[in-house]
Amino acid sequence: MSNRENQLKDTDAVFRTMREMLLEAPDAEVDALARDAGVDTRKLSEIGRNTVKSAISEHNQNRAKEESSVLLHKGLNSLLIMLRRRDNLDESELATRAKVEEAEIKRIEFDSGYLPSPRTIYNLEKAFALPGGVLAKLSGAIVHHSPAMEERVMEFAANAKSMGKLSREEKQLLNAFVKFLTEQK
Amino acid sequence: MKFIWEIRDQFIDAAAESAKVSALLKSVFGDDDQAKEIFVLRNEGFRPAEVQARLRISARDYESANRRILRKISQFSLKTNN
Repeated sequence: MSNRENQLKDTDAVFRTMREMLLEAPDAEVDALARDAGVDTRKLSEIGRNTVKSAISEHNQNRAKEESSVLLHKGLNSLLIMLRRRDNLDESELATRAKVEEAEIKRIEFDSGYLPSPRTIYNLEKAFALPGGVLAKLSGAIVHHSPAMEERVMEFAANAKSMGKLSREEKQLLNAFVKFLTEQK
Repeated sequence: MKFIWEIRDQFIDAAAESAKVSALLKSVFGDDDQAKEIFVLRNEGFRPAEVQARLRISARDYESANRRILRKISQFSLKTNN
């Protein structure tokens, strides 16, 4: 017997085997063991099912939140670029006007995961003479938003272009979008 | 000389771990040598039918020993958790 025991290299191996043997035990045996231990298996499985259900629901909510924040950020990128084009500014000129780093302007325009600071958003709103909170609604600083807003942002981002002077249609699109954002609570 | 010291240290480590394993098995299975033997064989990767063949025991005896093993593991687990 002691020769066999010597084959067990360490205590971890013992615990591993205990776990494996319990996992492969027949259901009736597990029920009997649980009864002896004073555990209600029905209650335990209900707790397990509820835990799994709430974990799946939390995961789905988080995924929806992430997708939504990326979408809003696309709206912010597009809006910033359109406003720059409207005022005929390059990134460097906008950075000077808004008193923010040029690198930050570039990050807002190209990195959809980047969350600008409240100061940057405030300065940009002032630089473009926008009503307060218009950019903040797209920056992720305000978490609650409606499906209608997401739809509108998607529509704006899809129609916004990044080069050249703004056409009359683009100006109308830009003004309508800013008005829409201003009216959003 | 250093080489010899290293071998000695390894030997002492292995002996200490082996003593821990023996104490743990004693604590779980007590004097139930058959349960202990089956458990060690299962740890080595032998399946129930192979364990039966090696120990020359019937399926019924294996099942009965397996039930004892599960109870002893469960009792040990409850004892160490409380």
